Amino acid sequence: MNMDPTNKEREREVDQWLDAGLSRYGKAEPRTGLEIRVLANLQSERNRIASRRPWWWAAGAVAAAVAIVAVVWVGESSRKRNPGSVAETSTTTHHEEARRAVQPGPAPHAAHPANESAQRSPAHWPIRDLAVKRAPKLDQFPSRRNLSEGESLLVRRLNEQSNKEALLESTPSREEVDLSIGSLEIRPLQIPDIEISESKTN
Amino acid sequence: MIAEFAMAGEAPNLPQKALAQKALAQQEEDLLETAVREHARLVYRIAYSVLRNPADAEDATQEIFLRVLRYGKKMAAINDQKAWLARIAWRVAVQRRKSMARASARIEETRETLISPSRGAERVLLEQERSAVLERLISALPSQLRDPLVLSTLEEIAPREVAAMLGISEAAVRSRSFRAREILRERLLALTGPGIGT
Repeated sequence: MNMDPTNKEREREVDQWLDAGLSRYGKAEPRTGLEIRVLANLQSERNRIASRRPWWWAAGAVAAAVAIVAVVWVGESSRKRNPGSVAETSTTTHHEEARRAVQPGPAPHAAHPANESAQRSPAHWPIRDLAVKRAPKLDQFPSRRNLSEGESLLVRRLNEQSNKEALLESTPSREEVDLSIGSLEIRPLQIPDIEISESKTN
Repeated sequence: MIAEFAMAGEAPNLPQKALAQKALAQQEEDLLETAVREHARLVYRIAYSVLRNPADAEDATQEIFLRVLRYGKKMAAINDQKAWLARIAWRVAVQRRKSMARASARIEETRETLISPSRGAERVLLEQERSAVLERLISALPSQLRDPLVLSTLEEIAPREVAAMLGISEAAVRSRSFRAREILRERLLALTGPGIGT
């Protein structure tokens, strides 16, 4: 640590220089009007954001409208492609089908196969069928189909059972006939005289 | 503020919610304008201390306030706006420095020796040269020592705020600044020959 005066002087100068340099280091001055430039930039950014917002809204509305039109158009075109089958089979429910099958007598389509084409003509369309064909939505899926052999056997069996039940209902049952009981005579109980010997009692 | 809008008759039919939103937006604008007027200089200095280029520092300042505009919808809830802006400024400037990668070129040039020790040299030129050398030496420091030293040179920022910005303790800020200064001093002594500054 033997420092000569020249070294001490040099260190002192370096210290002063370092202090001055560091103080200058942190004292950078911006060009005049920095705040004004920043505020102007912020204002232009605000205007840009404000002008962009309605454009986005308009673009979103147009895109939504286009999507809705496309969906409607696709639906219409698919409906036009097969209008009869879809409309006819759409609203036929299982209940209707079961009701038709359970009805006594042959089915209308099966009964008059020759008249079927005549019934299909627009003049013979019933009002219900027209209403059904106009219906846009499908209430039944999958579409109607013919009964299988087993199903038709079951239906026939049900028909027979229902006929038997109807026959049984028409004839009076045993329980419904008035019960008559013949006159009963109940005689008093006859007890034979028993002689009790006095000797025994005594 | 809502009453002001209502009384001014700007939008008498607007619902109360819209009026409140407009008032809040106006309040945010006012707060941001106040922050720009009060702290733009500090933000610029922080950016300059990192980037060491006036144009880059101004670009960074603009970017910082634009970020505050875009994402800083909560300025009213900030207690210490100065410290908050200083932290944003520091992060943005450091990101910029990393992306620009100019510092590496400067570090390469730190081995040169000081020139013009003679008394006859013009003092202005000498000061500029010394500043340039000091900047090179500082940029050659490791970032753990350089960052506390650089932020400590800013008069507006207290050591407590520097510690908050860097995520270290106040004592660590002081000790690292001291160590950085010692390293600079040694290097300057090594660079300077006898008779410098005289």
